[in-house]
Amino acid sequence: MPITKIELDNFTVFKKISIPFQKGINVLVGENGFGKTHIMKILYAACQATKHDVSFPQKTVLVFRPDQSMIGRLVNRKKSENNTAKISVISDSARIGMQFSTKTKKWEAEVTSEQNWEKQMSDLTSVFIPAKEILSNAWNLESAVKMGNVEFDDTYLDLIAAAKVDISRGVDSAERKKYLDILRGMSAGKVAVLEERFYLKPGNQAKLEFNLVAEGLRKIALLWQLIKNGTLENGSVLFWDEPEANINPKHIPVIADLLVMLEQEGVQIFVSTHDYFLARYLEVKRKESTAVQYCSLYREEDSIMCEVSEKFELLEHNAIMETFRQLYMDELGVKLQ
Amino acid sequence: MRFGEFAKEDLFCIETSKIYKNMGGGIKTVEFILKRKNRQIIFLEAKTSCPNENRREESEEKARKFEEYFCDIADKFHDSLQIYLASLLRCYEDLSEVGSSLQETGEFGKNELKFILVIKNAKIEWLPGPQSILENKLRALCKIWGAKVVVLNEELAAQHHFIATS
Repeated sequence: MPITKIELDNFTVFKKISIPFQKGINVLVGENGFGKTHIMKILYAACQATKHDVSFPQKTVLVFRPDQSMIGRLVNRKKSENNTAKISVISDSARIGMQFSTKTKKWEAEVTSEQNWEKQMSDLTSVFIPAKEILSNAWNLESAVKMGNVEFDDTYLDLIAAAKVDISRGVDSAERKKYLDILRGMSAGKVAVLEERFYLKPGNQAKLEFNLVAEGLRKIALLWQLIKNGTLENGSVLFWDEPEANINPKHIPVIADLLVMLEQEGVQIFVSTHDYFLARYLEVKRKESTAVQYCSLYREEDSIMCEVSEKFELLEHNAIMETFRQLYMDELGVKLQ
Repeated sequence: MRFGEFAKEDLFCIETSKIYKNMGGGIKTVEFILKRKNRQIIFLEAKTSCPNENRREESEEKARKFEEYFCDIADKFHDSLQIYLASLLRCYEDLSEVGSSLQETGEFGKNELKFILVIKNAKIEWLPGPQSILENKLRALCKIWGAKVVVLNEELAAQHHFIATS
């Protein structure tokens, strides 16, 4: 059931773009504002729409949070005669489409093939990990959002819900156990949920409030929780926005290893990154059988385009490597002046 | 790669020198030592290629050859610095092969020592890896002398005027 393609027409920053995806790890790179997170969010909304009680347009609104919940505000804002956005998300067995205009009320977008999408993709589970860690603010967040006291999009609320799921009592594979142990070592404990609040429990010591734990370690503890409670397993889709945020570079190889392990276990992964280490470590840690693809978003005239490559260093449009090379040249300039 | 053109007084072609050859075996050296007008003393070593860091764990043989490659280069910088300093201290009778500007010892501490490795066929993005490895191996020397390690490819070497122009 992997997602194989997305087609966006006049949607947010995109004029018209079509991006093929791998069943394994898809790494989105590109400068700020080129739509990496938007692509992941719309894919996530489509994955969530595989549930019969979730509608694609409504989930899109809840994930993007446009003003007044007006899906029409997601139409590309560049002045043009075209005021209609079209979205297609395609998997190996089905597709779902959505169309709306600037005049569409709320989330009353036109949806195509939704029933077939739900039927064919019914076993799909998905999780979105935003760049900003949220579990430390979890207490009462859902109620506060419902009452309109704060605004957090559904990626945060869904993640909290996913993290609260009880730990699976099944036996972990040897590979999985290895990474669970590594993650627990890195975060120095495991996640506990008590009265809607998250804690880190280091061994036999007293539990530690999540907001007293370093943000990077909270993120690592969250991963442990999602793997242990079965959220990330064969057939699921992981969306992870900037995994490197707040993580010491020392841990990036482990994160890369972990993503490769999850891919081997049948998780389809979408990752957006600005980080040289992560982008390169995925190349280093991948096995022969690991499906990895780099999608580089770049601007050409006034359109966002996408270049796809199986190897990071073969991308022609590569802001990370351009900056890396420039840094080296600038350092040489200082050393040899 | 053809290095140059450098003024004779600024150059010590240490690898082909009698000073070096008369030492016999067991000592390694760089291609040449060069004094630049901006008080830089360059120890330059050239290679055509570099082993792939990503592949060194593939076998013990590759790991060994990888280590040997960088140890060899580090030894060349190390031994060349020793030979040069010995020449400054007049340890050798005939110093005619050492350029006159390189023999100046006045305010020697104001010179900056640079250990430069030129890897002819390397892409720019491959260079930080070897640089980092060499910096690690030469850390003590760099700390003692305030020296810097630089790794270039042919294109960068030309940009920084180490390569002869036609």
